[in-house]
Amino acid sequence: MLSAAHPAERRADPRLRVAVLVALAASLGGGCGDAATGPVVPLVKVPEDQRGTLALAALPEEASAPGQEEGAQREHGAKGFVSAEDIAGFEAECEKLEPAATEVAAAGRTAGYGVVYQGKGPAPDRGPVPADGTFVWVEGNAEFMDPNLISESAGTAIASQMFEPLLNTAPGNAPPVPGAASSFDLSEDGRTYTFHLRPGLTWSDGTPLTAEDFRWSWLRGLTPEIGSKNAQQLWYIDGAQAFNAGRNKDPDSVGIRVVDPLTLAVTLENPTPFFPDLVTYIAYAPVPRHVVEKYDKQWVRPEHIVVNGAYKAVEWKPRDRMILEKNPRYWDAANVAIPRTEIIFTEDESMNVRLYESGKAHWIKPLPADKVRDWITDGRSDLRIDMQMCTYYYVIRTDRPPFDDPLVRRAMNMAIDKERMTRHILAGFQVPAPNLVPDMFKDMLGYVSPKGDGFDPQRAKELLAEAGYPGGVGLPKVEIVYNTFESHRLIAEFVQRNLKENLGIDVAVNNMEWKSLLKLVSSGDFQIARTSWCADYPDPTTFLRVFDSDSENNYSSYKNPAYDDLLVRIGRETDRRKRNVLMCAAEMALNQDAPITPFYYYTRSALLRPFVRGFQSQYQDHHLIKDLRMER
Amino acid sequence: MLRFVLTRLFGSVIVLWVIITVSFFLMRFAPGSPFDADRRLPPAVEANKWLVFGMGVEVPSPAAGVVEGVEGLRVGTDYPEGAPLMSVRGPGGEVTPVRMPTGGKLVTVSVADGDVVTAGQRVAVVPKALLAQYLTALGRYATLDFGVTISSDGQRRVSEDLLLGFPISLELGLWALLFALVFGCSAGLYAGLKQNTAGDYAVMSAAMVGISVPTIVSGPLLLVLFGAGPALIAPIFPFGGWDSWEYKVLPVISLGLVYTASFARLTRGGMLEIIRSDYIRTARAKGLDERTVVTRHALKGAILPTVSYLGPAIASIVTGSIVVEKVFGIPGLAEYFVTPALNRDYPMVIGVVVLYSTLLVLMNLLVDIAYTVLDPRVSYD
Repeated sequence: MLSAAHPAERRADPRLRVAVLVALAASLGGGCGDAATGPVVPLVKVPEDQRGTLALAALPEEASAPGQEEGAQREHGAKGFVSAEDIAGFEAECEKLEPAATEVAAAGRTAGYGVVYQGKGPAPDRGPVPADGTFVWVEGNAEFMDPNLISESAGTAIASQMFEPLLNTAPGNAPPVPGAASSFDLSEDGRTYTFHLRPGLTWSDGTPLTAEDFRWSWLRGLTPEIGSKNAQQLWYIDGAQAFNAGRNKDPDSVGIRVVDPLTLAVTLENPTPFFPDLVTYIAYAPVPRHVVEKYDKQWVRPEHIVVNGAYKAVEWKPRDRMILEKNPRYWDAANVAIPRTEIIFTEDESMNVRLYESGKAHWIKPLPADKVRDWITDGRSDLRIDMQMCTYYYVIRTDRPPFDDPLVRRAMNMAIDKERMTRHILAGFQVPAPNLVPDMFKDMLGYVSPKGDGFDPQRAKELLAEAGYPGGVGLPKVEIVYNTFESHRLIAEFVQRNLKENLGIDVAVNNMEWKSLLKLVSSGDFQIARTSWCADYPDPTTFLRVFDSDSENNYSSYKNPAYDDLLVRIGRETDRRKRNVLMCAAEMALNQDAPITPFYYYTRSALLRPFVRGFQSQYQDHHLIKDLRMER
Repeated sequence: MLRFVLTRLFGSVIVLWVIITVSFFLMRFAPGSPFDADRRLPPAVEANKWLVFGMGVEVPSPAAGVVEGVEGLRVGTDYPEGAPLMSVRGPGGEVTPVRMPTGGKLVTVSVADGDVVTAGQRVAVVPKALLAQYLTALGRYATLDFGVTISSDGQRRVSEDLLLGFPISLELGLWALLFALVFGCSAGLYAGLKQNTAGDYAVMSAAMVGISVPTIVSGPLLLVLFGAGPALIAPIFPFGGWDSWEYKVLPVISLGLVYTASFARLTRGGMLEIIRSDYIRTARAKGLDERTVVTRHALKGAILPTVSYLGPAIASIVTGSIVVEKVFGIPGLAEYFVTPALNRDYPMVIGVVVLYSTLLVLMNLLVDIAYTVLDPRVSYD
């Protein structure tokens, strides 16, 4: 997702300051944190063959690192990427990794999953539940509220309270739950979703809300004239991309069809098993046509705004605060427990803490890393750390010596002690990353990532020698660039030390301002650069597609036709198990070709007052206030 | 006097123009664009952005046909005016080249090899020539139209955002100034009149401490001591807003403290100098009592150094409020100082620059005028 994924990168990277105490493996298995609040009732009809898509797999311990035998590696000639034959081999290996189909079919996506830390100790008393029932939280400054335009996390977080798409995100990383639509059907070919809207839906001004509103809103989001950064999220719909690019001006060419006022049929370009998750995103929320057309850009101001969600803005002071009140016309208003919520805009972590400790705010994030460390030591129970679908990595230009040789790239990966990095440099909170895709899809899809090369300085030396640079002799100058930020610097210097100690390479590290780094990276004029990727949707392909030859975000110049073909096959595959095998093979190809060096998976920490109930981990840190309640 | 004011006003306009011009080009020469993000926008969307904000122009296809030669193009690199970008092969096999309309960075290419285009269809987007952008922008600035902010995707106007924050920063600055003037001048006068007494030493030592403690230290310290929540002394004052007087006390003290100290030192120095001057001796010789001598004659002269320091002081109080606003969570202008520049939000940067430079130029003018009132020896005519 363009939006929520990278809110903070503009300034810096606060997620870096977030923390994980327990190793992921331990936490995923064990009941640390509040477990499921109840079963999620599947109200959607899914054809037989798709049912397995959202399923749980128990991962056998030993099934971790196949296909990385020493002998196998040397067969790949230096300087080349893995070939189609190699990939066929990977597929065979991945078959073995796959959990049995029966195991997968046994479980759905589990609620309460993704909590990495929840303290057991006491929480300091910061006052009772406020008498007027106002729930106060903090966000970075939200610049705009128009669902068709939002592309930052603060705006998304707030607008999601006000505009309800057809489906809603469920707390606890559970599958989406019904929103404006009460159910949907999926066609046999997996390409057409038919959504059935709840009868009697209205906007907050009483105007009826119908399927046509959704069609109009989605098309508005795609109109080139409004230049939405969010539009890409709608590109899964057939014809949407061409319409957005202005290549096709006919709105009927986009696969959104109003069957009747309560039925919306959406045809996709390809079978997209994660489409229900996409539909929960703010880009898929409806906007009130009658208000938008009347007030144009002013329509989101509190004096004009009309919503269809649980809350409605009553006051909006940019860079100060925003106040939302319950929308009495919301279809589920009877079950919305919190009548009023106030959002304080601040971009300052220590201000967050002050607001929380003074009793003013009930939910704060992000938190200063050094405090998190202390709070973990205290076992503070109002601290929670959740898993996010984001990976921090260094991207390597695969066409610049010495990194045009995969052996050198892999040697570098093996020479860096990621465990030590997360434990000591980042204070041990993050999850070390042996491969690109975060370890979050086992429970969701039954997908198991093949582990990449581990920390092995001896082997790293050998690989480097094999590549023709024994002991680092004869190696061209190497430079790492990163954007100016404290923890990026610490990591870069740690990598520098590791490469010196383990490979004998002298590496220069240089920081630059964020936009300058972006320009440098997109121009391709670098050797190694810091970057990261966050999931657009809960599926490994969001990570794998970054390395498509045509991807805008493929900064590594990794162009491998065999890999691209594999991505196409993944896109067409409708069998869950088969698809997992192909994705696993793709990740093995990346492990082998090493266009990146992954370091760790992100987590997000927050302080939440103990009287708040119903809050659960969410992979995008996307939470609906309507699901919360405050218990006196 | 009028002539002086008019000349100065004219000069101020020139100064503002120079400042705007320099900021405009500095921003444009900084690497990156407002639309760069960690995940690159799809070319079609980025092209839309450049067009929506009036910073880009479309390159139309000169003919209908099939696009060729896109493969070697490097988006993001500079191409000279007239450089061939690609070509279009018509149905009859004739090949028409597509050229850069102006020199500059190729922003996006919206077609790929083999795409079929109609005549006039957009094939690429390039930035508007810098000079053309500058001239249209200057025309708008002249009518005080600073446009819409890019960070809000054009949803909010620059003037609207600045007008929300500015009154708050100004109020904070003015209260802090008042605080500093009242306490600083009184302390300075007292110390000057009681030179080399214990009182003098006490006041001047306190002033020394005041000057040495920056707001970034005094702010959090005051919060820890008196802020709501777990305060060390008394949890009296709330923070994280600008709603009522309780919210304003600590920030005003924190911001005013440094200037209180400076004013005290300046006033003391002024008083020491004046009290020994000839006209004071004359006044005393006339038999005036000490009280009248000080209030009627010495005071005006004694605060002259303070007045001349007022211009820069106001400037640094208003700009210096950034730290205080951050520490106390005040929704003033602090946020607009750095973030828009980092985000390359060109319209907002110009808006902030104009606001502050106007303020500074005006303050200096006011100080010059105040001089003529306070010191009869100064005249501009």
